[in-house]
Amino acid sequence: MKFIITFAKHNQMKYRIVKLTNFSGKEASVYTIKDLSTNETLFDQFIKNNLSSSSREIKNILIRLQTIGNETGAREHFFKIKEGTLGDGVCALYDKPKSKLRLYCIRYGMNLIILGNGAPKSKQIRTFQDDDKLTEANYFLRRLSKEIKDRTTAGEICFTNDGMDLEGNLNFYDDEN
Amino acid sequence: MTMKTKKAELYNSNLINELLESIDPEEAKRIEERMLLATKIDDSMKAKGLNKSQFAELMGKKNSVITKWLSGTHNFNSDTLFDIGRKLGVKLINIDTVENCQSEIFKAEITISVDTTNMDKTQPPTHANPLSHYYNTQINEHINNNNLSNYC
Repeated sequence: MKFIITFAKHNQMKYRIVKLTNFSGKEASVYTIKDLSTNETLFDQFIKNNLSSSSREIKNILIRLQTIGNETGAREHFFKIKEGTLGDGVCALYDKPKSKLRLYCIRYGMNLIILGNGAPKSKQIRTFQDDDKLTEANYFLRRLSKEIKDRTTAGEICFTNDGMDLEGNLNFYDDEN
Repeated sequence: MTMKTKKAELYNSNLINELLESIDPEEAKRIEERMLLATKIDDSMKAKGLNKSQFAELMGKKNSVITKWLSGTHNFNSDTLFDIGRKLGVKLINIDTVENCQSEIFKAEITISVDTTNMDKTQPPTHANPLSHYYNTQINEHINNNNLSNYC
């Protein structure tokens, strides 16, 4: 018998994928990840970390997410795609022109996105790998995307027929190593 | 093996709610409309069977410019919107309703009530309607008093 779920070790963080009711609507469902040790979501962390320095950009992102959920769906052209590995859906949401704030997400077609964390991408760096916060946020979603794929294959997670929701075992343990 | 279906936990963030309430509704509408405009352009491209590169070639622009247009963040100028509209065969700006808007304002502004007890009965009627002179006088006064002559 093959075990897909990784079991918690002492230094592992426990997370849960949750559905954000603030943005989810008739066109798309917006999910994020809750840190079960603090009960805070990665998206709330993203807001708190960047609100004082990028208030207008944050508010712009909130309205864009609300519009995606209720009006337009998660259309590919709203996202900077291919920010992860081939086919993992990791992308970044475009926000205000000339803004350097990056919010990483995993996009599953028009109807479902999972919001992660992000940070400003300074003009001094060429790629996100040159910034620790961006690298951490990006690679976390890459690992999560792989885990979702593995669990979907194993039948532990499924997408609903309308593509709007995720169901099944949505708890994760993350080991950065 | 059948999977036990377990729905995701619903999470409502107070922080997001507070921030959404603090956003100027006009600014929010602007952000939303930019996204809807990008969506309309993308739909029109698809209806014409054009991918991003083909549309860029049609518009004489670089691919990166089209990416910016479709990001839903771009603040277009009217010339660009007219150019895109012509190439894609869609109306992105509607300029047909200006006259109709003005006549609506005019109609609303000249609504007056008539008190026939003060009617000047010494003036002869100029039309078949015996009150027409009185009406015309009242309407002209109303127009002059309310600076509506530009709408006439």
